[in-house]
Amino acid sequence: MAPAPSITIPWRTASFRLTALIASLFLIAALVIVAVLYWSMSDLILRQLVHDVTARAARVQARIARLGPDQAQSYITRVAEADRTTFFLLARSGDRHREAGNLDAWPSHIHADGKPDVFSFERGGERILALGIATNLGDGRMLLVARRAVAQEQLTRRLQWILLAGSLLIAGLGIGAGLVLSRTVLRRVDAISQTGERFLRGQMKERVPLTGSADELDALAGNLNDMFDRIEQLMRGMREVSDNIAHDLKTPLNRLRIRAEQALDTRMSDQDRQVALERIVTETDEIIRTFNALLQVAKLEAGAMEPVADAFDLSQLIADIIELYAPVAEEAGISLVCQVPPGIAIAAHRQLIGQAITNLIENALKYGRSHKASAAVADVRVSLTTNPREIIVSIADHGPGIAEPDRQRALERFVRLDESRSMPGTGLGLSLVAAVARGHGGEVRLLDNAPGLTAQLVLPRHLLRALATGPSAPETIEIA
Amino acid sequence: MRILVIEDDAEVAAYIVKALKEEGHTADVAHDGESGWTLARSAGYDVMIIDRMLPRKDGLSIVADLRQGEDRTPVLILSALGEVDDRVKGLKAGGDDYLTKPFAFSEMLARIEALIRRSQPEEQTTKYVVGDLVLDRMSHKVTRAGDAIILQPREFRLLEYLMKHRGQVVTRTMLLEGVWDYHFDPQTNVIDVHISRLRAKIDKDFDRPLLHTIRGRGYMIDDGPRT
Repeated sequence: MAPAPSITIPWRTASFRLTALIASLFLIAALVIVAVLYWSMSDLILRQLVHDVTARAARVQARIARLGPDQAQSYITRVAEADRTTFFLLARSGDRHREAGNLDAWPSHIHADGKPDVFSFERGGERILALGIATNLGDGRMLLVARRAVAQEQLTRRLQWILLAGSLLIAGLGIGAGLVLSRTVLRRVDAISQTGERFLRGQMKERVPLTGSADELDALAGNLNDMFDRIEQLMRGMREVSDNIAHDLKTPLNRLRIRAEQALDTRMSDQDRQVALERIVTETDEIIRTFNALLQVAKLEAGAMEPVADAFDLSQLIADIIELYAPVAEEAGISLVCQVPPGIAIAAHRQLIGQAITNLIENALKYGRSHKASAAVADVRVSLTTNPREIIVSIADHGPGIAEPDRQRALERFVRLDESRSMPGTGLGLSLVAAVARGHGGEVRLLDNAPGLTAQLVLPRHLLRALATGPSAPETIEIA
Repeated sequence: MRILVIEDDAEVAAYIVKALKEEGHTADVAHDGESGWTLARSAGYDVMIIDRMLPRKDGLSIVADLRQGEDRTPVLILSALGEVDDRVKGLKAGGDDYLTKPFAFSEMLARIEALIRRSQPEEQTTKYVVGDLVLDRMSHKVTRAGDAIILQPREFRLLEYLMKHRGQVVTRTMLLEGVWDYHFDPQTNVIDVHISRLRAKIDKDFDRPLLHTIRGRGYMIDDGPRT
């Protein structure tokens, strides 16, 4: 697998792009606000201007109406010359564009309709905005009275400036924030991906450092660390399994081979050959059993177990198993003591729980008897208790027990503590119990029974169910 | 008995057929699901042995289709899938029994015998009799040569199961499943201990033993000479 490219360019990061997007949205919002502001303010200003111009136009007209044409012209000229910068006056007659006034030409789109209109013209290299009213004076003469829209011009200039400065500010802040954010996030993401790379290269102890901020990156890192833990555990499990298969499965296979070779020996008597063949079959069964147990443990450990909806009577199951094993215990000189309150039902895999309890009881019967010192108290005590958090099935024996440092190891696959090497068994019994417990969200505890061992199958209390009606019926899959 | 074997492993199939013929049955073989399904539909079989994973049509759907067509021929499903759920699925699809590979041949034969017996009309009798041993299913009383034998409830069920299958070999696994409803696998000889206790009660004081151990296979209750 090619290593993932390390991200070093800030503007290619998701956080930078997100910041840029948000900054653009802010910019658009600012534009809209400025535009609305401009329209409403210029509307106000224009209204005021319209009012002024209308009054002025009325006064000029009234004056002109009392004067003769020549007098009117000199009046216009006089008034126009008095103020050339803010007040404009222009008279025209017929096709003559300019009769008198301080404007150079009649604005093209102004009609003599008595309504206010905005126009603009160049004067001295400056664009001047004005509002004017043109009226018809009769005899084909027209008069334009206008006023420069100074406030309007200033407003436009100012808003243009504000808009420019504001946009630059927003864009600058956006880019800055994006860079800072992406660098911060990048550093943490880089840390995560580098940890992953090192892990992939085989440094199984590598974990992503957490910042303690409990944000989404920390959550991601936490999940990744859990995943790394799981992978490490699986890898270790796989290595152990292959090591152990090599040892614990090859040994019986080798025995099998030797026995088969012996059976092929032509000098063997028929009776001996029969015995040899029977031992081959027994040996094969043993291998199959080991193999099945191994597969079951592997399957239980590989994936999450489906939750079980149906409840069964755990008390009854334990009582049944004890009943099944009581004669075996008796023959071994062990009394099997049952301390199980009736009517405790749980929602779990009945067969798996049954197998787990069976394994624990078989272990107790197998190892619990070899303790010579306290032969008088050779009993195995099976009890079922609940506390506010757990359901506990305890199997306590008075055997040699397991020394404290060995207890964790005893739960692992194929581990057979030296004391038990001579006993028959696959070395998978306890690890299967542990896998079943874990599969149900519980655990196995190995405690000191002083003397002896107490093995506990601990299940979470939420598996507890009320019994539907009386003692539950056993599974009704009848064979033949 | 006519038996149909649908199994894609030619060697296993040949071995099964050979053993069935030695037991006095006739057997047909199909090596894939489709031809097996054709044979199965032709009917006339007393028991079918169907492998679960077959080319072209899988074993479970053959069984399910048979049951859909009201064909109630007993079916033994063979499978390499032996988990709890797999087994339940097999029986839900309509299988009558489920055997996980690799299996002991004696185990398969014993189960086939049990299935054949089951395909016969159910005995309406309330009493099982083997020689002078009598088990009354109604009153839960057991007598041998007229003398009452006191059995624990589980011992009674064990004997009842053995007598129901009298003359047939019953394997330890069948007893665990049929008498204790256990589908898990004990490491110790737990069944043997129960059998020897039962034997002590029904055979010990009598010259003629009825409960036989069939070496490498299981147990059988029978009045005839031990074979």
